[in-house]
Amino acid sequence: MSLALLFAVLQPLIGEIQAVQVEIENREQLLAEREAFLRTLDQKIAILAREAKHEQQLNVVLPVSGEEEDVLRVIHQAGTASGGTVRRINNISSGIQNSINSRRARGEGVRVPATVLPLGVELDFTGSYQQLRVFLTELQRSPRLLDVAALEIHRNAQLADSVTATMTVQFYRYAEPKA
Amino acid sequence: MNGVAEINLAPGSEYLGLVRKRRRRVYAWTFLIAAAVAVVWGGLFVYQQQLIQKKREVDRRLAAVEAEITRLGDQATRVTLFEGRLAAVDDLLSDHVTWDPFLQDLERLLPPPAIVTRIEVNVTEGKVELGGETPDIDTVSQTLASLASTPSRPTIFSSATLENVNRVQQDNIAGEAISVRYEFAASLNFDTAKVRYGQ
Repeated sequence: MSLALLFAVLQPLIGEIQAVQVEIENREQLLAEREAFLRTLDQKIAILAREAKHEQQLNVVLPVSGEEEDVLRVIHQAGTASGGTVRRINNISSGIQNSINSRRARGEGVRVPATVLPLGVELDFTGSYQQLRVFLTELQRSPRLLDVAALEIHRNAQLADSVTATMTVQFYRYAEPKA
Repeated sequence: MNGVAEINLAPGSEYLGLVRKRRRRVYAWTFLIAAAVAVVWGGLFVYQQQLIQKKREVDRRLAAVEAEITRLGDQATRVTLFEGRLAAVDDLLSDHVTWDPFLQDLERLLPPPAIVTRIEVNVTEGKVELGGETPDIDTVSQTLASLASTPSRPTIFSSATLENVNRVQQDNIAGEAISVRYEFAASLNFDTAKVRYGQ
């Protein structure tokens, strides 16, 4: 009977108390973060005003809007510097986002932060192996943060010393967290 | 004992007394347990009300801080945006992919007679599908042994597994072999941390 009383009367109340405790803990943590932010805001505004170039650099590395044209320019410059030829560029942003969203839904580890929207293109590059190496190095030096996330290299049977590489170039834009 | 037989004139009264006593004991225990539960419930209820009060207070302070941040408007948004992007870039850089270690190791480890005709790399899973040509089967074996990491000679490739080897022969009109090569396919696993900047 005491067990029945415990479950019927006390357990729901204990459950409610635990839920409120967790809520308070989360809100206190958020409050501490926001208070710390507010305390240092004046200082940060002053730093940003003084070091505006860092903000501009960040706009290039991780812009708030897509700015796909920046990536096209980087690919063009890398292709020119390498001496190879970029034959095809396909926008595969929606495919990348769908794949990441499904992995998140399945609870699998996703390397892209939640505040970042991944974008991407798939491209074909043709040239010698050395030209491909230069192309990859040039992409790596891009001021816009981008990753060659997948790479396939095939030797061209018809042309000696020629390879075709198909690669996925992934780049990012900042997606402000929803309040 | 003294010769007089004890006679119970009200048979069952002793049993009834025992039953009453037991019932009283049950009532007493029930009352005690109910009282204890009531006391604990009361204590918990008061504690719950205190917590709800505390939550309201935290919410009030949070709303005040948010209102102050909103009052600061564009400047606060600018700082929030900057900090958010900086944190995101930091995360992205720790997983930023560089192909140099992978390709350098591949170039260094391939025996000269082996020619790679196909490489398919999956960075997420750390898997490579490799296709190539060699003049003989022994070079296929040398290629796989050279690529796979050993304790004394570590490489980026943790393992190398042969998928298949096919002899490809070209004959002249007379049916004599003019060239023989061996096409092979292999699967390799590699350490993805070595192609990521922050690891």
